[in-house]
Amino acid sequence: MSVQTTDPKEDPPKHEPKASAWQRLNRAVYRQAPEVFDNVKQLAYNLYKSIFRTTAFPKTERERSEAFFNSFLLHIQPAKIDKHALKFNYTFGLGLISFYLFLLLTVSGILLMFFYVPSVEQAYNRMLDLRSAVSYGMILRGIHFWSANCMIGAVFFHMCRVFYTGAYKPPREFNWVIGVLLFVLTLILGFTGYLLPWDQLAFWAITVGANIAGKADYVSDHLALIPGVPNFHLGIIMKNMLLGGDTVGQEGLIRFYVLHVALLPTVLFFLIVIHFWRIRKDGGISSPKESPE
Amino acid sequence: MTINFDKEKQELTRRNFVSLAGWSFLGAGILGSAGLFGRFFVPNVRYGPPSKFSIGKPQNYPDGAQQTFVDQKVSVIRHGEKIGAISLVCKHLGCTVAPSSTGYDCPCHGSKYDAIGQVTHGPAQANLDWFGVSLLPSGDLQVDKSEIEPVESYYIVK
Repeated sequence: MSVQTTDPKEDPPKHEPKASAWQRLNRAVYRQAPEVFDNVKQLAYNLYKSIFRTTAFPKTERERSEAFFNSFLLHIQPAKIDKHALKFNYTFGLGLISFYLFLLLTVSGILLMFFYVPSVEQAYNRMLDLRSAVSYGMILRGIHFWSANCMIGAVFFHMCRVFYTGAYKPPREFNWVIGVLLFVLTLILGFTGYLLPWDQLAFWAITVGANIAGKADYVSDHLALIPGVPNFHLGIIMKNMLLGGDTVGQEGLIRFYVLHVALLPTVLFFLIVIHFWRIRKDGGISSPKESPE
Repeated sequence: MTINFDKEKQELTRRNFVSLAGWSFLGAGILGSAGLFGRFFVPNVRYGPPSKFSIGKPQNYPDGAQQTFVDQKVSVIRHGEKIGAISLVCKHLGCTVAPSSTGYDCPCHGSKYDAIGQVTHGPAQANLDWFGVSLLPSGDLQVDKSEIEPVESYYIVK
């Protein structure tokens, strides 16, 4: 045990614990340019404000409204909405579920495109490689497959909901028409995507589908009854336009591929945008108050 | 440091903290998953020609022969009892060199190599690769492009 020999009051003043290099640097900077700290804080604030505009934690009604129409993702939603529209069992969220599935399909589809080759020699093997050799390939293919099936279901049930709540009635009648187009496009996307694995199921499904189109001669048969109109087969024309030939082959595969990955999704996307825009312009989602009992 | 950058209300309530923590965990999870997903872009299988290929029997190559395998980008030469396989991929930036009167010339940036692949003119800085040659049980010779060897690594015909 050590004995204290001197009065602690007479000790030389104790040094502060040694400042870290970071603290010393901070002090040095502050001595040279005290405004640097304020400027850095201001920069962070400006950066945040330039991106988000509104407070992260809205408290008043006004701030909550601002948070909605200043946010890109939220501005689709109205700032104010009827209470009934938020009830889950009024819409079952089917429209947004369809939209989210479309986004999921876009992302997973683009990723699948990294490995898929639309050629009759390679397509099937590339599909098998996606299942066995590519990391996360099987889960991606599964996501794409199941999202596609679920999207057809979701769009169909969304249509049912709109029908049963009378949301197809004026002033929303044109949005119903766009919705029908979206449903048909979803089905065609499913049909075109079905060929791409290039297996037996795909080949014969598209053979059958194209031949169904080939049988649709009703219009041309009746046009031929008009004197002067030559007899032609509209169905055969449609089938050949679809397949780029008489049978399912390389021409058909590349046509279905381009339709599936480029043309149809682009059209679908623009129709979705118009569909959403029309909801707001037609006065929000339908309400039981609109139809007198 | 305040997380809430709102100048008027510089406060971090418990509710906001829990909210931020939740979103941070979610964000970290999503970013982590996205990072792991990078594995998707790593090519697990290759679709090019196999790195090992047969070049036929040694007696197909008379003394002084030089034969080019275009698809495999390999030149097979024979000097006496020695057979060698020289890569035709330029060591500068990977163009395919062409056999010439002085050896091998690169059409892209003018690199020149002599008859055994030693660099004689830039911009290439290194000699052409030589590949391992071995005898298969069938009596054919095999070139293994994954087996990179220095200049003049011959296979001796017995």
